[in-house]
Amino acid sequence: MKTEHDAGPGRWLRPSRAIALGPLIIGGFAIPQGAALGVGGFTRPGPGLYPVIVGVALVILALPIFFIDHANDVETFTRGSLRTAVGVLSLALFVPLWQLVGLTIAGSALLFAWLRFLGRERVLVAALLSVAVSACFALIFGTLLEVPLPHDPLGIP
Amino acid sequence: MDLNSILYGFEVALHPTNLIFVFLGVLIGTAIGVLPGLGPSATIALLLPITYTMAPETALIMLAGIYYGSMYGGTITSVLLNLPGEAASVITTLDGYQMAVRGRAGQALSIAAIGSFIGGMVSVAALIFVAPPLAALAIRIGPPEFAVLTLLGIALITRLGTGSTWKSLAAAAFGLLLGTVGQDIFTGEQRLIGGVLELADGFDFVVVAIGVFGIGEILHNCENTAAGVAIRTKLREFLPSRKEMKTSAGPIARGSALGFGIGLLPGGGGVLSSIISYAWEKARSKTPERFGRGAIEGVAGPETANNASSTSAFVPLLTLGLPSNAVLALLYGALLIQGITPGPQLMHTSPAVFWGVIASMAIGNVFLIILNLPLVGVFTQLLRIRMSVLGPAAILISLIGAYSLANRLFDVWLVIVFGVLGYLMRKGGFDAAPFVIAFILGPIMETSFRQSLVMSGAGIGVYLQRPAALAMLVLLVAVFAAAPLKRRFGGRRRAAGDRPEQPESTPTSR
Repeated sequence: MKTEHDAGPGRWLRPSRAIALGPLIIGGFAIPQGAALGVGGFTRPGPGLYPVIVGVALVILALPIFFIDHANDVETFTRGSLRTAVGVLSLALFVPLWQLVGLTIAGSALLFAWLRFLGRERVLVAALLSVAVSACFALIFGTLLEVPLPHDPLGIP
Repeated sequence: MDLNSILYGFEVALHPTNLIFVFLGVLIGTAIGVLPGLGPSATIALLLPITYTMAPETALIMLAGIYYGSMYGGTITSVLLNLPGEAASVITTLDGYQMAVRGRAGQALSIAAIGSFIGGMVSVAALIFVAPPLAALAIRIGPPEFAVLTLLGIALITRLGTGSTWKSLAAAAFGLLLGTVGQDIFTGEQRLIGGVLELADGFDFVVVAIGVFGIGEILHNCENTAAGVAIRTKLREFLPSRKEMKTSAGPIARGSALGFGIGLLPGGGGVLSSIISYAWEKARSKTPERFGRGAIEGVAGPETANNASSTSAFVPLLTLGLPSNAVLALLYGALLIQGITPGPQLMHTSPAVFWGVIASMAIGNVFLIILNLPLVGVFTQLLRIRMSVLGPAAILISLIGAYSLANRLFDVWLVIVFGVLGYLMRKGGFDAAPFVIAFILGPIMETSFRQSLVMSGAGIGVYLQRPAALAMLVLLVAVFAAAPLKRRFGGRRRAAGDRPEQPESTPTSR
């Protein structure tokens, strides 16, 4: 396992350092945004004062994360991350589908995709489970809790 | 102490509806404590939409049951599989799993259940005495003290977490920033909404919590497909011997007191109390070498402390309005949804919630011991449900739950975005708990911060003029100055002790 003292060409771009970009960018975004709102003063604080303070804190915190903190707790992206990407994509497709064909069909499709392709369940198991679970949720939320769900052509809720 | 209030609490808690929900709560809690991959934060976040239609006390009674129920449930997998079901049970794996390896799983589980029961009951009893004076004191706290207190609460959570402190601080700051999105309550101006009108009311905390905890966790699990686990341990003998009971009596007594005390601190909670209890028992043992090799004290003490502290952690929540961990922050949010703001006045404005929840914890603990002692074998069967089945179902219910908040698909998109954020935070080693807690406390902190600046006219100096605020600031500095010392101590202890093998991966932000 590599340690924090490993020298090498990639030393400055190690994941444990690159992660400092997160707070730096977010803080760097918040400071001008807050300043534009009006900072005021410490006796008459404006709406932007607090976001600016928090933004400055984020930028400052990026420094120790970059220079001091090198815990081995950063996970790099692997082939397995592709599965997560596919999962996120399926969620993004689910929302318009839900609006179009209702919860039961869209939910079944989402569950089937997860059970079959991400969970590697057998086709029959995945199909039965996905239909049963999504119909069950449609009943709970649509009928029992009376949530006005988007139109379902199957008329379940 | 007011006896009538407590009796009233029991009257509320013993109402048939509330009895059913406390039972459901501890049952669900134990079940999810057993299931690795679905923690109490995620479960409570997922169940929040269902609580809208409940009476506030019923909702909180059930959610609280899930919380301390999960503390019990987490023990089962720690002992049987060396897999802590939640962070507070990590320490139990050290001796609990070793006991299981030596064929004493039943004894380990029973002593954990007995210890947790005693710890929980002692804590409830002590809570009845401590909560009213603390609430009375809290009324005298003004905006400057409250601003520092919330800051202290957030800071302590970042210090006590399992991840890197710097990253936890950054996560908390990000949470504070997201808390400012939406309309400014002082001037009415829209802040940081980037032209998206749906954000005018800011982010709903349920959306943030479901996304970061629930979906984030599942997306992360999806990457590391864990194979189904099989249980081979047989559980023939359940009850500890008389000798083991005698050995455990001391650790249970000390664990109760220690857990109660730590739970009172903002930022305290299960993880810290169980670690300190373990260290204490090992330090005072005449045979410390047995620790890590199946010492029953190493299970009894931490398990008691962990349950006692998760009960007393309700004191800062119900009296100061300060949630000391992510789960309690969700309970805080659940109350806000019901139109109730937890704080010093809660005891008077909503006595049914305040005393009902406290009394329900005593009843919940009785249910838990009844459930746990005979049903340990049944709970272990839950481990056979694969995450590949549970995860997708949890995702779908999260998305529908987000929609039902305001009946708009915009919130579903937001939940997905926060799910990705939660996933990226886990990849980057950022603890999600400080983020969510800071997000919830942020608006309270900003309001009291700005109020104290305006009302004093002395600017930042107001914090130096008020003794209580100053004392808390000193404490805040001390907490962070103690870090290098602790690191030194920790290093020495690690070098000196013959520590057993730690589990490879432990859930950090559940």
